[in-house]
Amino acid sequence: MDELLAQFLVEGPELVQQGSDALFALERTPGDRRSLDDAFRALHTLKGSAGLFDMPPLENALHAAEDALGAVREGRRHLTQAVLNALLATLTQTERWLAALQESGDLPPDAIQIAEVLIRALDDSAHGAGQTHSVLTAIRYRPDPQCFFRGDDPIKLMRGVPKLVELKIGLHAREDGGAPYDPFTCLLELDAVSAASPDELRAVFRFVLDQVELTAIESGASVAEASEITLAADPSLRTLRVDVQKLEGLAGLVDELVAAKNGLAGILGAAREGTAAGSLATDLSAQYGLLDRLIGRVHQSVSGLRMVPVTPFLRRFPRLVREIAAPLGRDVEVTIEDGAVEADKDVIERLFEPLTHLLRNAVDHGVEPAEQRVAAGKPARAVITLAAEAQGGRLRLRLSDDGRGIDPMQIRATAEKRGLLPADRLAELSDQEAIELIFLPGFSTAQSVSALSGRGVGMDAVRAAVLRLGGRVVLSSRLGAGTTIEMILPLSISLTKVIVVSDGDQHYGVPMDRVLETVRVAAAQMVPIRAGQAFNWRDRTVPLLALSSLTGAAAAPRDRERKVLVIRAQDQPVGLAVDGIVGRLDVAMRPAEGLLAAMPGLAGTTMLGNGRVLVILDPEALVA
Amino acid sequence: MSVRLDGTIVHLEGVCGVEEAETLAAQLDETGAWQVDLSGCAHLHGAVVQALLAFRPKLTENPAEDAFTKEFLQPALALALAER
Repeated sequence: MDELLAQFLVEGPELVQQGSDALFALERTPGDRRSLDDAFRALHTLKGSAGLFDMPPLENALHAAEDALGAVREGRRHLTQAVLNALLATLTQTERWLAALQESGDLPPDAIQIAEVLIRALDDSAHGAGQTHSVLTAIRYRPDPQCFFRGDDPIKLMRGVPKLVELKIGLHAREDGGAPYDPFTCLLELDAVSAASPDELRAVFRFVLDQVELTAIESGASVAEASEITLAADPSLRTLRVDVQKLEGLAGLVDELVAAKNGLAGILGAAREGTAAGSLATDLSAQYGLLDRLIGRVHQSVSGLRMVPVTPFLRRFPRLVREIAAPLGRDVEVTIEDGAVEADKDVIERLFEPLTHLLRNAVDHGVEPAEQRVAAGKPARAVITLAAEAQGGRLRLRLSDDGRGIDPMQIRATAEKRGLLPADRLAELSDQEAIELIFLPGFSTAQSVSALSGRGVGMDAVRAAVLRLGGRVVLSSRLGAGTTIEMILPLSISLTKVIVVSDGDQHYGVPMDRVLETVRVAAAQMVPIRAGQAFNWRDRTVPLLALSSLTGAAAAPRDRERKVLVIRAQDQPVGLAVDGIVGRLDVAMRPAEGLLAAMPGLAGTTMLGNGRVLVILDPEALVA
Repeated sequence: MSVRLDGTIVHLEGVCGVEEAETLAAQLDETGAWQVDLSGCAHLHGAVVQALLAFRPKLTENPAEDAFTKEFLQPALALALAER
């Protein structure tokens, strides 16, 4: 990929985030100059970067946004809610386009239409606020030298210019080299800027049009020029993505490693001089211990680099919620409680979709329309709180709304209607058990499927995603007061790629790094060797074992084609025959505990999305 | 009377028409006046502005009551006279 584009793809989302953070700050503190400048800077830089690539929709939308905010900055336009929403929508779309660029290297085909909609929204929001469109006209007026005799007064003409913004007056040198001051010859040069259109100004200068040049200037351009200096001066645009302290810690460790290496040189010298083996062994052992400790710490530090703060991730959501809430006519504010937690980049990234879905649900089903809220004695604007904290080595991510809560009776009714549980069982459930039915696959409490939540992912998908990360979901709700969903997750995970195989009615995971190849072996290619079987793999005769014979399950018939995982056991390839290969998964593997730990050939377990446990095999130990 | 001399300060007052240009030029050229005060000025004709630019007196910092003079003319003159 083009290096510039690659850099833009890294920087772009950060700028989008900076811009929307500043806009939200501006919404909380209207007129705050600093936030206004921050938002403008982010938009300006984004537009500038987009201009480097041939992507007119992106550039035009950002240009319109920059213009709109520039007008606000110069006091020519009010920052209404409509303007703010249009600006946020543009940023959100920018983020989407950046993702598309990353994926396919190009904007999606509908980008032109979307850009038009955004630009119209940015324009409309301006006209809706009763503001005039921002045009500036440059006036260059060189009065005729004889104008004083005709009774013209250039200053009086300038006085009549509507919406004058700036005036500059100069004196030009006499062409004939005459006396420096001549009261009868006009030597004035007048340059001015007006916010009126060239047409309006033409009327003012109608008698001296031959002496005037009127040029419309794009306001966006002049704003951009004006802000160039402040843009260059702002250091916060260059984000250091790794904590400097972490890097310094690593550098320190490297220094210690060098010292340890030099220690080895001393021992080597002693060995060459014929020092007794016993003495060498003592020295080596001490040095080994030192290196072992150091390498352990390097490993730990490097893993630490993967830990990133959770709050910046959470700050992406207010914008998303605004986008979800607007078409539904809901007024929602997102507050973020910063617990200063760091978690594994992998864990955080995998939470984006579940969290998005939970927020959609909260806005769509949790938060009531403003009238209902007011009638219930609540503030019209709903609040969704996102909080992250670390507790007992786990990340606790809490999402709570102050909406209507979940009605257990309604859940029971829906569950019965959907045939999820028989009526008598439902009646036996406690209220808490009843509301947890929303996690069942296929459950949806929405009376009608809305455009937002009706996307085929439900709460079951959310729970599945969290389970896959080795976490769990806790739901609590008070009818009329709101709902809280807490996701409790490991701060870091080590994901293992496994191949999921089926054998009999069981599924097993096999770590992918143990598998050399998966092949299909026809019945005719299997060769009986004594009590066992073998097959030909890359010109070698390789023993073939049926997984069922190793796990103690009923043996599958031998007379049909099998899927075979070729694994390495004691440096020999071995074929492991299974019924089928189901797929591949990244799983958070837990070491086998308790009774399971005593079973040979078991590497660990993982929780599947459907709540079932997948046993992960250690094929080497199994075959041995 | 729109051009009034007070010591070394020339006060331009009211509407200063084209005919005041010569008077102002004479004051600045011959009397040793080197400052001009525009605070009482309601309008300056282009010819008067030209005289100011040619003789380059120092302008007092008193703002004019007239809005156009205060907002545009005084800053433009101050800028032009500060150059060079």
